Amino acid sequence: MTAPVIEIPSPKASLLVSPPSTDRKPLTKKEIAADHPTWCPGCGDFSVLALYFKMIEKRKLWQEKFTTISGIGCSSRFPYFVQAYGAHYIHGRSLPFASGISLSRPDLHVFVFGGDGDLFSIGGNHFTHTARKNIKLTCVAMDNWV
Amino acid sequence: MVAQRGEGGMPKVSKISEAVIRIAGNSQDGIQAIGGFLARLAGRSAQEVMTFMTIPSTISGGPSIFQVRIGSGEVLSAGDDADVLLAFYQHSYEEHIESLKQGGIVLYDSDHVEPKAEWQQQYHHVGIPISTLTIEAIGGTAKDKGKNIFALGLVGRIFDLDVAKLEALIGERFGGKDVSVLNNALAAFQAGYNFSVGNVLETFKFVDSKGKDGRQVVMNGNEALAYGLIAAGVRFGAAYPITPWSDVMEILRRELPKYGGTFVQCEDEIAAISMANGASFAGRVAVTGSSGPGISLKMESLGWAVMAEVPLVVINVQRGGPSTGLPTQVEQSDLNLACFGSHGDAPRVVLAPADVEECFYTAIEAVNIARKYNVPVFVLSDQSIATRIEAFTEPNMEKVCQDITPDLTPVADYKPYDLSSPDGVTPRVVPGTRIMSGRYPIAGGLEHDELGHPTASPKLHMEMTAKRRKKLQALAATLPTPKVYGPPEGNLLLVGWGSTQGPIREAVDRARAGGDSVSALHIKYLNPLPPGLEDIFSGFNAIRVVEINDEGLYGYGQLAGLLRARYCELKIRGINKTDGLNWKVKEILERAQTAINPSQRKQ
Repeated sequence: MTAPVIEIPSPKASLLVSPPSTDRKPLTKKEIAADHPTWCPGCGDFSVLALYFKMIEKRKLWQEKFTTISGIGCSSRFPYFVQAYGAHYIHGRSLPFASGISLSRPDLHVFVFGGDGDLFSIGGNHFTHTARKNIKLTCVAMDNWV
Repeated sequence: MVAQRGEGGMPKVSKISEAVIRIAGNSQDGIQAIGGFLARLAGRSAQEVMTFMTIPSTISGGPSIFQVRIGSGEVLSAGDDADVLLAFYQHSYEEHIESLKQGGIVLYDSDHVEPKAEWQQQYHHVGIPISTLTIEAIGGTAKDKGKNIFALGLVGRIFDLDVAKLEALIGERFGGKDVSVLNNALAAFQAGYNFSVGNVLETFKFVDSKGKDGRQVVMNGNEALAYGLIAAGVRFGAAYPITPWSDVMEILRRELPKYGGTFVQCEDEIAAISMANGASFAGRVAVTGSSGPGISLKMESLGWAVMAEVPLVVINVQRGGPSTGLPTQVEQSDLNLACFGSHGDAPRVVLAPADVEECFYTAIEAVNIARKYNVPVFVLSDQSIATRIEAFTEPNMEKVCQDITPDLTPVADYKPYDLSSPDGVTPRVVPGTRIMSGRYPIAGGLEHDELGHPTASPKLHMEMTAKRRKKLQALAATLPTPKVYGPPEGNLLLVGWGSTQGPIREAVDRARAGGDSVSALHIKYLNPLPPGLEDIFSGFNAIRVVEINDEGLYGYGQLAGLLRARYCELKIRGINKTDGLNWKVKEILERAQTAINPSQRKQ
């Protein structure tokens, strides 16, 4: 069997910044934040979330244009803290799930958040294969050494 | 169909309305190729056809057979006994001679087969040096390759088949290759056709079949499933290859890009269903598929789709189990897995097509049920339907094809798990759709509130569990009651699902012709079950569920178990076997004998 050929949209398309429309103001932190995070005080995950919000503001992403995907673990609570489309999938399999979104909807941005167990342990196989397939998505690994 | 020499040595020509031809050789002899030609010829001649084959699961080598049953009238099964056996090797001859009817014809390759005296009394033996003659006809540079086509010529002459159509089929198959390959094939065919077998054998001519209303298409179950999915609007699939599912995957992989779709071969089965879940979450209905071992792997992800209420179509082309089992043999032992696999209370829809034509339409139905109820839908095929070739009326593609591109028009507000809907069904709003209220949904595996955020609230878990169950109850209320084949009341009801429909119906026909009171019921909707079954069951003294799975600890198989649990009906019992082969009509009748007792006939 030969390897499947996957059409990858051109890089220019991925730098999509939604055209500013007159009736929509850029998202504020208040609009983009959802549930209060349930992490322990002092956890590094808070700063990752803060950076995510900052990136959304700076890139002027609209809420319906991106998806926040995670597996299982501390870091995997991410989607609930973000006011946008998201999915909380099963342990270790968030990368193929996110790949399915990216491949069938090239118009959406896909962000995957996971921990070391989710991405490198049970998800280790999917991690290497998603990298090999070079899917258009952003994966943030939050390693807590557990 | 008994062979006789005609008067004065001239071959007799007999009219027949059907024939069963069994071709027995080794894998890589091109047995499937010529069997396929015969099947396609039948389809193109407005005849009915059904095929059956066995192949070893050994990569290369090993015995293989292909049986074709062609009929001018209705063909319900691939045939219990053969009229003609074409045997290439000694083991083909010895192992399959008893599959012939008494007085049937065995055409054997005298270069490889030594007939046995005791069988020469019972069956009409015709020995032809097929290998030698093939080498003479086409030069022998590739040893005896092409002897299958030579044999096809022999069969063509015996049954007075349409030579032009057969040569066209050969041309379609080998046309893409080097022209010498096609020429050799045609030369072999002509040599076989012109061999004077007519002088030692009578020839048979099919009576004209009833005209069909429209052109027929000829394909096997896997092809029908794949084309049905494409017609239904599926544009994303992900899977891993496994026998006997791989054909569906190969077709989708080749065809979906033509319609702007994508098919991905993943690193494993779990990645495959996860990708399909992702694509479904993102807006359309995605498909994944496998056979037993792969479906077992997919169970956790399936549970996610049930909990998150995401549409998904999962195809299971069943094979012998458990574990690696019998990869190239038929079995119907995944029903419980399809209905109940995955932890927790995870209701999902299960459908089972009964023949190749139903594979096409059931695929479309599965996609539409998934879309409407936001639930995973299993389609249970099996190795027998997947690989057998049948002819059916060409579907009206204008009416049947659908576009299920999601609507991304902005909405005011959206609750993905809205508890206020009475039947539990919530229409979907997919990523890319702006929600003006600013409250966006999360799809997740944790028990959740109406917006998808996690909750452990006792009340909400009960309400959400009820919602997921109510969706299937709402679906059940719309399902048609299956029709009884035969009178609606009687002594014995034979119940079946999936690929056993043909042999069960033939058994009913034969039993009724012999004066017994037998009817049949075939169930396509296995979870939820359709309404009205209890009324049907009450019309019969005895009910036997015919399945290709084990009778289990308590003496009944998997569908029988579902029906007994649902209807608390003790007269529902099982007729089971697990030999990796589909039911023969006579086997069903023998096993049902204890239940067909004339003295118990209902008044």
